[in-house]
Amino acid sequence: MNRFLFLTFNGLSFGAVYAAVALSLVIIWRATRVLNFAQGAMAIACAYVAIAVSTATGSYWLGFGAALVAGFVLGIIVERTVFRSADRMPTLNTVVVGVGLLILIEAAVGIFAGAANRDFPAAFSTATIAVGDVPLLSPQNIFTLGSVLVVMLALGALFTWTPTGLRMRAAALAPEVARLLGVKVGRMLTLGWALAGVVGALAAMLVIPTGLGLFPQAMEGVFVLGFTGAIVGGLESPLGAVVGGLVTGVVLSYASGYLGSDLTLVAALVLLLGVLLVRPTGLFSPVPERRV
Amino acid sequence: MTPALEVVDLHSGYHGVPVLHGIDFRLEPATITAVLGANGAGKTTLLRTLSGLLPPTKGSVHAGATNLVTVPVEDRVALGIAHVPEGRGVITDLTVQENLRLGGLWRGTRGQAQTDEAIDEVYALFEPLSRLRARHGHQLSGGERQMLAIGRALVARPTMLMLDEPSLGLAPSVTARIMALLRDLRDRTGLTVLLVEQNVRSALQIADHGIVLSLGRVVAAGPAVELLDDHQLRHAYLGF
Repeated sequence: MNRFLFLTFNGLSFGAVYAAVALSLVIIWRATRVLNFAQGAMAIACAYVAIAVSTATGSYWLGFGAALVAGFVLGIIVERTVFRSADRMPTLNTVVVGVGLLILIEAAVGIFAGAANRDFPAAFSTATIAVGDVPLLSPQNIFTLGSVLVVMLALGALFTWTPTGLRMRAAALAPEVARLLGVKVGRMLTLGWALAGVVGALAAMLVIPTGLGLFPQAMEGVFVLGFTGAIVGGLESPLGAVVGGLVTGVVLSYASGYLGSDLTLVAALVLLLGVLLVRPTGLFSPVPERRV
Repeated sequence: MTPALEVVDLHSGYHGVPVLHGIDFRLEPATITAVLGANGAGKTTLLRTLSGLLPPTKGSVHAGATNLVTVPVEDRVALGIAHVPEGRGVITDLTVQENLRLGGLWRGTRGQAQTDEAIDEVYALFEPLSRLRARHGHQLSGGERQMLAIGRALVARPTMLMLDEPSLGLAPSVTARIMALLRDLRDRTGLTVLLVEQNVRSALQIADHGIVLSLGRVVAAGPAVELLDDHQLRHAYLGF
């Protein structure tokens, strides 16, 4: 039982990171129908900004804030320069462009910051706190879960309660109608990319200190699992992204704990296949209407 | 009298293929003008060009002193121009209330009170919608969606309303109600209406003027009563 609890909480903690990556993918997908395969690379670039600022100022939190700002700015740059005309591209082209951007960013980071694995400090202690005899969560795990929860609630509030959120949803759901109603659709799409950049940067800042280390390709594996979470939850649903990410984290934690760490990726694949076979649009996305 | 809209030598098309070939007409304020014609005549293209969704290749569209051709589509709603597109344009993943709020967002936070007031007016005008505020667009019937699409356009308090096939797929009783509403809005608020409609009889019965398009050209224009009485024209272009 103790082991089960430990694995559950450990899975939730990593799942929160996958949820953040999934959320960043879903925000962009809903707005532009682009699966941004460069999201992980963009996030790692932000982590390098964080370590540069932290080193220069001696403040972890200034570095943390700089990473989020860098995510926002990088999201804008990527949308404005690379994906602005995505709505006119075939889907396959957007995938190829995304993969190209991934390679470009990772190579650029390697050239300018070096390819060596660097230590990256955690915001809080990574030592697990035991409740009774059961080691449950570290302060860093609690910070991770709390951060993702806050971001999810903030995004939910933005989309549900604010005029800007309504404009963003309208721009994503029906761009032509939104334009007729005075919504600057291009601006809303840019904002979506910027927010996704922030969420992706947050994911990098949360996961890199947990033993992953900082190197140009560090987010590739995390991206794959975040992508799995997005597909499991459904690309149309922000809530689904969060739940999908958490489910992915917990399933992988059980697989790793009970079956061995070699089977972690196999478990992710089985989860992905299982959901796609039963519910191809994901657990939370609406099933499209069929015309007969 | 200054026209509500003056269209001069308007050309437009898709991907280099011309559809409209030099359209000219003017709309007087507080009138209903029906744009009629067979499928492929260019009716929807005309509306999309007037609202800015489709850039004209030549010509001008004046609303007062403003040449709308130079105004981005997003800014036209602030000039009092509203367009209810074909297929109604209700955003089905949003609730009725959210769709209506969208209609007034162009005013920004300073215009919130005006938008709230306009939404209340729409609920008074379309009483069934007031009971469906929290319903999503996909949960509405065809008639309710049409009411919502028109209501959302009215939240902007436009001076000119362009409607594309408002009767499409609706029961005759619902169509009659919508047509009566348009006439009422014209009389009560001075709204200018440009109505694209396949249902020629019901459109001409409420319209003051009619414009008949064929293959992207105006082939007839005049008072609606005269168009209704012109058997030769009706037979040649309107199919009844």
